[in-house]
Amino acid sequence: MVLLPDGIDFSSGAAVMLQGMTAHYLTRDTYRLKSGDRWFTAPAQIPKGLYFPGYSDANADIGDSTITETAGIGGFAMAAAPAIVTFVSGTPKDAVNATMEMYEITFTEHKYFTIAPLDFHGTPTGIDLRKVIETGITPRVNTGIAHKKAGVGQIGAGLVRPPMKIFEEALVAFAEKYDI
Amino acid sequence: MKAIKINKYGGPEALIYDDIAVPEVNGNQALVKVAASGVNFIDIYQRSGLYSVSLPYTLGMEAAGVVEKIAPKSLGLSPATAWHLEEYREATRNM
Repeated sequence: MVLLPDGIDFSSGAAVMLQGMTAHYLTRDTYRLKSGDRWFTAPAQIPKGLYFPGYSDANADIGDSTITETAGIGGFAMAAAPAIVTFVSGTPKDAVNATMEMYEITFTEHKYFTIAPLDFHGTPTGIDLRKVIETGITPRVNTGIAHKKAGVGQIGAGLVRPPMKIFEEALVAFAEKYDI
Repeated sequence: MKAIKINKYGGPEALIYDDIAVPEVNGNQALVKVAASGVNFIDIYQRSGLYSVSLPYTLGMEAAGVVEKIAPKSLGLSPATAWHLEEYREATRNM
């Protein structure tokens, strides 16, 4: 139980806790943070995509959608789900191109998540920091678009990419840590 | 008081808007009159049975509201003290 600060209404207060728990379990169960680990942050981005009729005013993209891409699914597996590409006004060919682009910045192919139209190659998996910097390609994340006002909920779906700045900062830290 | 419950797993039709008794506060619990509650995908998973819960079950994982009653052990407060919300706010700020 947490005291609601002055100026925060009940609706906003009610919407905070589970979102915070997502961050909590990611740093405990999914990957246990330990001394010496670092993370890098940047402003959340507004997704590009299609809105449900009559809606606008998207919130910046926060939440756990991004985590799926790091495991080789979501936007990285777009070639396996061409219908999803209509979220960004694309064609099935664009879906294949989206996955092909992510092979440029990943370390390997997923062992179990395979894509039929790509001759059962595994989905691009394991974002390689150095390749992101080298190619200038940032990970593409499929995401829902939430309204910026608490309580309105999802108003569309689309694509978001994290800013290049966090990869640049992380590469510098990586080089320092491993003395490269 | 009202609650949205499930007696068995299922689709939206499994939701039951029901009357339940106001819960007693025990141990380190507090009774909160809910002013707003969050709705999350986990509520759907629990309703459908994807995540098992002990049935019958009252849905809802997060809420905001006003503390109406607080059990003596809560926050290490003295059992003799009658805590009203404003005092509780002040006490929390001073902790």
